[in-house]
Amino acid sequence: MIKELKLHWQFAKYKTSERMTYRADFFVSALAFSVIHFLGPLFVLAIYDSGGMIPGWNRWELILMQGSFSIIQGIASIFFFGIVWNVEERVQKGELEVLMTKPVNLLWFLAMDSFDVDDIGQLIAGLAISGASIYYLVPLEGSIPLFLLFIGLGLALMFGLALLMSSMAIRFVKIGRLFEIFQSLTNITKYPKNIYGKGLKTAFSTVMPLFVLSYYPAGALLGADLGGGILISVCTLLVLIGSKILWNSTIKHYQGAGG
Amino acid sequence: MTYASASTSFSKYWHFFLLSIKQNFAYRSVMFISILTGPIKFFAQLVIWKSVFAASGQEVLAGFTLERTLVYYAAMRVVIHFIWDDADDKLMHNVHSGDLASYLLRPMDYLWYSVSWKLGYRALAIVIQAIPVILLIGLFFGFDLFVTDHLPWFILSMLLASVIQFELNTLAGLTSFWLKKPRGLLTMYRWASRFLGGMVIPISFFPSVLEKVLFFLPFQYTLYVPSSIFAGKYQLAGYSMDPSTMVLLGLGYAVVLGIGVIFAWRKALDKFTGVGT
Repeated sequence: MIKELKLHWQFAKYKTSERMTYRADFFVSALAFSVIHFLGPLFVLAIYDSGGMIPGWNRWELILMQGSFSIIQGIASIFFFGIVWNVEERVQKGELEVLMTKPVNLLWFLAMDSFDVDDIGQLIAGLAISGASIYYLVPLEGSIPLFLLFIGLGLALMFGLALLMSSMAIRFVKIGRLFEIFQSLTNITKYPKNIYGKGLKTAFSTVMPLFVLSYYPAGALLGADLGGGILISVCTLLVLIGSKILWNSTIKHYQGAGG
Repeated sequence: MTYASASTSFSKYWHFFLLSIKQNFAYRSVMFISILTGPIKFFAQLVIWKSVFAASGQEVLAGFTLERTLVYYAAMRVVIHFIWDDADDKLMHNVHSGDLASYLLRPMDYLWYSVSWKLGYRALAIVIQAIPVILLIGLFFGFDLFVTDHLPWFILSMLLASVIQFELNTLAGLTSFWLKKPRGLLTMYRWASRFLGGMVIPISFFPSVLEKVLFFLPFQYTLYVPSSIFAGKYQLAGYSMDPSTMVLLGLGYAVVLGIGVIFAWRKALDKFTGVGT
């Protein structure tokens, strides 16, 4: 484990220094990734400024939900979510089998190799958005440890989804815009549960526990009703375990594609 | 230009148009994803806006009723398929790889080639993206969303939107001749232009100062104008205009931007060395 962590650190340093060759592009790129995360909060502000509202929530509570999502997506994108595209590219080029021969865990290697410092913009945006909303919402009635727990669960879900999509990339070679479907669904779940019907609420809390990416972390800080919190936590862990089993089986049966 | 040479030119670009359809058809499975994402995105807007209008207790917000808001988003899901292009990305790639030199050596105009390519790609998108999205949204949420009194003006404004989007993207892509790595800048431009064009929210919801600024910028002609025309009413920064006026203004912007593209293209070619980076 110590060896892997040292290797991970080396990769992060190497990837960062490589990116710093084009420093200006790095800063603009990080800024560009952060801008995307401000669109949701701007949407909320525009609605509230025009006299609209979402029942039971003020603008900063909603923005905190979006900020929580950005924090999770930022951390995931920097450290591991890139494995999806990394795996897809390597399968298409026939390079995945070469990696399998290396004396390091394949999944760990892919995560290290996918380290993307540009995505720090997403994390900074998430922290800024959450920070701004907390500034307007203090004193908060919720719990910081619970908030951190749900952020951790959100990251576990993102890792599970990354494994799921990577396994599909190996099995079907080209997954193209599959990520867009995931993005469309997560955009739905950046808003409070109470605006959805019973069916969707249940689906996004169990089968696809996407509410753990936004509603639950923000709700934990705000002291909101976290009914179903244990169920969604269990479902998140089940998605992670299921994805890992799928990944292991996919790698076991991988016969190489390339071309 | 003689009739014969004009006919040869047309035939050349017509072949690029057909080639674009053929090549992009190979990636139809990737394009099919929109059939899923389009209705999902529309559904998200439907749930959010129904809840917003119900909670606010108001019938009109920023000039939009709930019905008009939903029609706006439904129309936008169609307009997006007409206007989408990657002229900026392609130009950046061709400049940096040096591949542009091989295009410039061919007996064709790169800009007209890009236009033909886009037209072919979008013609395909109408069939395998826009029409299925209309059918799915219509089936699930009602075909009333696709009824308008201004169909001819909507079609004209959508064609202009496609031209203006191409011109804006080409101008953004032309920065590749001067900047070493404009990828980040282009990503930012893409998101900013979509937001300022009204993709996330109709721009009449923006603060009045920003509305006034946006009224004079071309971004609104890519999404906001055609979608608003379809939804029955154009209103921005306190101005209400009829569809014909907006189409005429859009035409003016298309011409001005077109001149800008030709001017910037000539300047860029003076700078191009063909070495790549």
